[in-house]
Amino acid sequence: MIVKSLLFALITFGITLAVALLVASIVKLIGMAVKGKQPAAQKAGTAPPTKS
Amino acid sequence: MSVFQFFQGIYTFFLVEPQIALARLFLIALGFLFIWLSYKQILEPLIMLPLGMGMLAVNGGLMIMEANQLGTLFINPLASNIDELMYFLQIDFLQPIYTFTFSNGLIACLVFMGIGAITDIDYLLAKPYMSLFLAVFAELGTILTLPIAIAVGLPVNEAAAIALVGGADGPMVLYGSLLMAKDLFVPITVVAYIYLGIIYAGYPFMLRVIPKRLRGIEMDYRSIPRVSQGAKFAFVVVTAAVLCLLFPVAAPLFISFFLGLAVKEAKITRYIEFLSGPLLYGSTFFLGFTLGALLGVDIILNPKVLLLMVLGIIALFLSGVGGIVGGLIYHKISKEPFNPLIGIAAVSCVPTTAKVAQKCAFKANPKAMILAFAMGPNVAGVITTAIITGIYILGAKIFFGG
Repeated sequence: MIVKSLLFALITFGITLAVALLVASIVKLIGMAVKGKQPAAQKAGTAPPTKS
Repeated sequence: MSVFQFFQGIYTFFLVEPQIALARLFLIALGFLFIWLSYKQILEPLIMLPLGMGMLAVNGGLMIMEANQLGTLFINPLASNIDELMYFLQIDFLQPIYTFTFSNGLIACLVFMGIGAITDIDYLLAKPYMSLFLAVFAELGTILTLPIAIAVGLPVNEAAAIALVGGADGPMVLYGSLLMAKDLFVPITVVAYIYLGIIYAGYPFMLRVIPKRLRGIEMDYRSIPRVSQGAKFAFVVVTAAVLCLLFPVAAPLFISFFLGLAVKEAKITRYIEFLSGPLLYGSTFFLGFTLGALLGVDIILNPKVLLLMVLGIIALFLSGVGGIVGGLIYHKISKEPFNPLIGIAAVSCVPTTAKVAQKCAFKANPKAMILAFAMGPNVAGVITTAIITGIYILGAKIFFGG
């Protein structure tokens, strides 16, 4: 039972790490998508120009 | 007939066995202690003051009910069949709160909506890999306490429920223990809230293992990238959908937290005011008071309570160790200056552990301002704890059977 519970702890760690990486990747992807969208919108005149 | 029969709270002391009478007195005294410590701001007053009041009232207010049975006019958590439940809903004044908000975990979800509405995710989004890397390390206590609790003889469901204390998140512990170990959810949640109250005093001692020169590392605020409003809102919606898809059993927790975040990021002022004010504080108030009213003698006489108290402190200690180790590892691998104290902030007691990190950094070097960096792992810790809650609720059943 103890070995089984240690194995479960290891699996829990693995799944948590994998899902945490997935969440971090979502952040990166959304960041990239938003960054990529901004210049296009500005080009089309649908977004206000930035000061810089 | 005795004159004491008019004062049944006192009279009932003489109707029960001496150890039960002593346990009642002990719990009343403990209630007074919690109230005093809350008044002195040593324990979190928002939860511990109503809890202490509930404890002394329910243990003092024992009376003779129908058929010479002893009981109170507070709650009967054991009422299960519909007739019994309808009876107690009309008699016990806290029964509606318990039946309609506790037994289904709603109260924890309401608190989470409020927490979501006041949580700043800028720093999580600015440094997502660092935040989530540290948050996974700071779950060491949540992960390792499960096998430890099983080794000392607790069944899997109870071991998983007490292990959640390592996540340092009160509503999460309440939700998880309600679903996994309903008989023990009161002592587990109370143990969690008491320990969370003393984290602010306890973790700074643990952090002394980090050398002073590392504790005082200054970090550059200009290195934090700015995150747009659109990106934050999109992250909230997409992540909520993904996590609900992955862990349906913890979906009520996820959606409550992310709904609060979505309202905040969409800047719906009226909802933000409602969630972060009346809803959050109303739920916290009734959470504390009802928990206190559930702390009767049957709880303290349960032989498992002492074990739960020991396991709870082990869980929080190991999570602290995990946070420190994570912080030191990230300090080694980071290309930019990184203060390893930030690791402790990943133990998701929002915002207490982030404040602990800042307090210790300031003590080592008054120029070290790390609070903003610490908020990222702090919020990430809430997410990883909810993930582990989802794994424990369903995974433990699948893995161990039953």
